[in-house]
Amino acid sequence: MEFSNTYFDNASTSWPKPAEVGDAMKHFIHQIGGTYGRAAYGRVFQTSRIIEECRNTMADVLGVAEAGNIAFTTNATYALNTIINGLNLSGGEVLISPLEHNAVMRPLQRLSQTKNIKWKLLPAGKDGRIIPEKIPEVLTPSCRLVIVNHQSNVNGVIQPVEEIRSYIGSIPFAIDVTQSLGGVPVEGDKWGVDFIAFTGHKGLLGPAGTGGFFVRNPEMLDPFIYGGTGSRSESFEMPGFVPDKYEAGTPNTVGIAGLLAALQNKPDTLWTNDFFNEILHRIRRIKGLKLLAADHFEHQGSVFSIAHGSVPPSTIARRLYDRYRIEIRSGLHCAPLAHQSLRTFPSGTARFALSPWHTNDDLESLAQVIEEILT
Amino acid sequence: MQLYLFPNVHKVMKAEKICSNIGIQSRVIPVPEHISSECGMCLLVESGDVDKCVELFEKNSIPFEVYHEG
Repeated sequence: MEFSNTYFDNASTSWPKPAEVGDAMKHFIHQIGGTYGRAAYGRVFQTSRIIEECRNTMADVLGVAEAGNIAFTTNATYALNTIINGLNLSGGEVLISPLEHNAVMRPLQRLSQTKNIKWKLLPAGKDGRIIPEKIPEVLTPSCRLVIVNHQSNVNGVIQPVEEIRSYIGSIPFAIDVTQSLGGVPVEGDKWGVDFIAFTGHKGLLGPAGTGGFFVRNPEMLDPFIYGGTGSRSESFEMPGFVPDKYEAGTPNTVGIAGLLAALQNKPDTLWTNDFFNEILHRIRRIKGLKLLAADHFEHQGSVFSIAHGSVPPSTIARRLYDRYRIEIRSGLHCAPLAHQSLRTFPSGTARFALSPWHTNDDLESLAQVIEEILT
Repeated sequence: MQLYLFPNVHKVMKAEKICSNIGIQSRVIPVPEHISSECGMCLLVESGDVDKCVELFEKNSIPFEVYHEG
């Protein structure tokens, strides 16, 4: 079977990256290598310029005007922890989508134990896509935060963020664009979201160890960690201004240099939506197979899963790797809530996540090998 | 020469870019101790249309303090 690339685990981390990512990181290590701020010599200036250029470019990617309200963190999990722990949620409710990742569920679970918060699910269809017009049925005056995973890392369902905002009024609204960013447009200002958590190493094709979040009103969000920022150094208090408030310690300069290169060298997607849709239809027809995808293709991102009545997900993954060297992830994908909602808990699914470099021929081959190992 | 102090690196870099875009000669230097205990950088504007510079800082919501040097 012919594949240009047998790596289908891009929802875990993307591979390959644009060549410029490695080049930029190597150049940074060998030629620049300064710290961010904290001094004023050329090496620091060059480094600071790279970080700020990346921040400005991220603002464009997130669809927000104020780049200074974007803080870099090591990943989206750290960003979500900052958001969830930095708000005053004590005794209140948090509404979440049924497809949340443990990056949201574990911080919420901790807060349910320590701050008496409660979480409830937003109303959704069979594929986990939220039904905005039903939101008033679950909304109460004690709701302090709404969190929505923009694109599921299990079935690829894309949530109607803008419509959700129109039904929740002014309640703080956080979206997790870990899986969608790079593949699906994000328009933070237009959608009126308060927080956007992102990672650099998935759809953006940057290196691991990069990520961050946008915060619309920094005065409502406390820092997650405290330390040196290179500003207001005379004080033991964290600065109240952004991004310093959320960036204690030296940032991942080399990673951000790589992320900037990724943003500046985004490849065109080689596969087409129509063909992807055909392939999903074809896979859905395999006897005994359950396809986990959006009920309507217009809500589908570049991730989908399968489960089979008699072949466990780990066996599917192993057969694909042993026979065709295809790399996928099986199991719960750190999203037990999503699997409970989609009725694939506790065994989980075998998951496939496309890269922009996959071709329609790769998708055709993928459908063929899935058919072969399951029939 | 005028020295501009900003709250953080993000604003320094934004201000430096503005100056550079309108042809104002500026230089990033360490913050002098008599101005602030700041451990980072500030902007020394060496020549050019300083009023235009200030106007653009304000237009772009860049808070700053100005000091006369030399």
